[in-house]
Amino acid sequence: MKIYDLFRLCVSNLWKRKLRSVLTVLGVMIGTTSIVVMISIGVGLENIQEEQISSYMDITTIQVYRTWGDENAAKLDEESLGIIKKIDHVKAATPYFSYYFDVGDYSNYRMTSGRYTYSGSVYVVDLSMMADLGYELADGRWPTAKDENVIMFNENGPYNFIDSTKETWSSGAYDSQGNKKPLPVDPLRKRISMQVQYNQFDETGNLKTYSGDIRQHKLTSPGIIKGDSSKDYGQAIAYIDYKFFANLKEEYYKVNGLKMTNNDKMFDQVYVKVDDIENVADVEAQIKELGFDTWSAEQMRGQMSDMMQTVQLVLGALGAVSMLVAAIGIANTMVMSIYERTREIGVMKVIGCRLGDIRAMFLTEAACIGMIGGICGLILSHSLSIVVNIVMSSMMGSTGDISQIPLWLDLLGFGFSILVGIISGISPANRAVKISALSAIRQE
Amino acid sequence: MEEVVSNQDKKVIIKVEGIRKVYNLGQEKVIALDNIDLDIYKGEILCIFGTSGSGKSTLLNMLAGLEKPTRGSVMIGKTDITKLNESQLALFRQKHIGFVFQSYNLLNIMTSLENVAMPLMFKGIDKKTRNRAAKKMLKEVGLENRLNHKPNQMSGGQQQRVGIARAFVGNPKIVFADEPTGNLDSKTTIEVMELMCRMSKEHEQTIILVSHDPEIANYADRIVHLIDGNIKSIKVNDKNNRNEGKENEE
Repeated sequence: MKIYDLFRLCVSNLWKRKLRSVLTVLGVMIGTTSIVVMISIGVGLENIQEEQISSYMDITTIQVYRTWGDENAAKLDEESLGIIKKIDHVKAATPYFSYYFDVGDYSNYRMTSGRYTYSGSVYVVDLSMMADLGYELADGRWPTAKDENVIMFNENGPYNFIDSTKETWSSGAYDSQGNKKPLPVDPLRKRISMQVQYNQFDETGNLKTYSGDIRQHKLTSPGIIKGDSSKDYGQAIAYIDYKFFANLKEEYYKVNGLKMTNNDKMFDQVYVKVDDIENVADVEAQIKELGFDTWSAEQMRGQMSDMMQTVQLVLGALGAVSMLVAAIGIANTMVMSIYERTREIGVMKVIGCRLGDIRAMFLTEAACIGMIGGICGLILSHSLSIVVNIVMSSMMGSTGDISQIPLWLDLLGFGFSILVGIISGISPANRAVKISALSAIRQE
Repeated sequence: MEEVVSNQDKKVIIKVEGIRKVYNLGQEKVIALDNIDLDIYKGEILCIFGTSGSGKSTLLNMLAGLEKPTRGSVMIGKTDITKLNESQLALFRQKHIGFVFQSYNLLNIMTSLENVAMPLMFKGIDKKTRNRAAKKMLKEVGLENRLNHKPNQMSGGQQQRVGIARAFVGNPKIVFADEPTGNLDSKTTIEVMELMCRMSKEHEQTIILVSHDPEIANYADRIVHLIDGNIKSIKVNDKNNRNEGKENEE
């Protein structure tokens, strides 16, 4: 028997018993709707929560710390950075630690532009990784391999330049009226330079004078990085390339007559960006195995996600109860239909219908009821979801949609309703197959 | 048991050997068929004749593979159908057997065209081809202007003609007819019987007819008379005889 014929026969049989078919479909529709809507609320809650977490922290970043004080501990240096970069699903890895530059004598480095001196945080990073870490440009371009002595500011970073003759610290980007002030130094146009400081003191606490010359490094600033509240706490920051900084550090030790140990060459901290949230836990575990301490939002998120999955499961199970009732409805309808059609089935067998076709006929009918119920249920679910979201947002303010139906949930609902149809149809279909051709003819 | 004539020159299509059927009704055993041996020839019309309870319907069921005998074999061609399982039997029926029922047994949700085309649908023949064959068949039984009528819009005689068209549409080797005219008046009975005989002769098909009515039996080439599960006689019914019978009736 051709599939086309199977479907045509199925449709005309369902159509012949319209009322009963519609009632059974209604049951499946309610079952599908209750499952889909319940799970959609679970999905909505999880997404709202995830949005909230990612609004104040980058959830795909792992922070790796240097182990202090233990000589035998794993060394967070260029070599380990290379190993970390090779772990699967690692999108980018960069040294990531900060220094505070200021105008005072204790600052080891000084960055100046004309009469302005930088007084604020400087983050030591691999600038070539910034785009992969999720930083965006506000202006200019990312540095290339040709650029030397690179420093980049984020949008508020240049406000850390202060006129040391007038101010002792930065007064920020906004004036007292809340308007943005003009930039003290435009990094894309003004010349900026960097110098290590000689800050050795004598016994009485007075700064010693340095006899030699200290080199002025001319800095390149090819672009401005966009400010992002989820990164670096939304601070005003300058980012300096870690290789350039390593040279500066070496220079500082030399100028000050200090001996540089291997420990001094290590990174305080490394940031690792993972391609997807789902892989964060796995990558983090691998880094821990290398012997480093780590932190990521994953630990927190993982617990919340587990909880949310339980919520989804419970909600789905509640919905499944009505699907079970619908399944019983389908089975009942099919059994009734087979009782009524005993003779018809017998006749079909006598005139050459094969057993497989009889079974296929009834399974198709049951699957069809499931499918139509599923489609109607999805339409109803989407409508209900819209209503729930409107009602909830008007009650609780806009915190995002509380009921969300992703595509996978649509497919799940659709597939599940067909599956329920088929499963409910199996036993009745087998009953139909067992009907004896003979008794069908005798019954008169 | 008296065998009048044997047709040596004809080809045997069904060979029944030592069929016995016993029903267990509670403690009691009912012997429906005692011991039946029978050869049925290709292209003949055979009537299994007997009163109710003689075992004629049981024999038909055995021949058509609807029921298994307690012992004995039914060879159709080279196949012993008593050895086939349910799905093999379904396939066998699909290929070789047509069936005409007393109560027509047409599907009410379908038109007469669809009813006739149904056995071909089960064979997996596409709609266009099978509808062409069904249309041709309905024309042969004189219902070319009833193609799209549902069974409940037709008279008994018309319904049975649809039933006959359905039985013959797949060009089966053997057509079984269980009291095909049992629900029809005498005028329609004659029409239906003549139709069946004509169609079977045209395609050299074997018809096995079950009836308790001597008028019907008269249409057959041979009449097997069954009493209490045994063959009492097998009579050859030649053409002259049949015409005589008709004249007598008028």
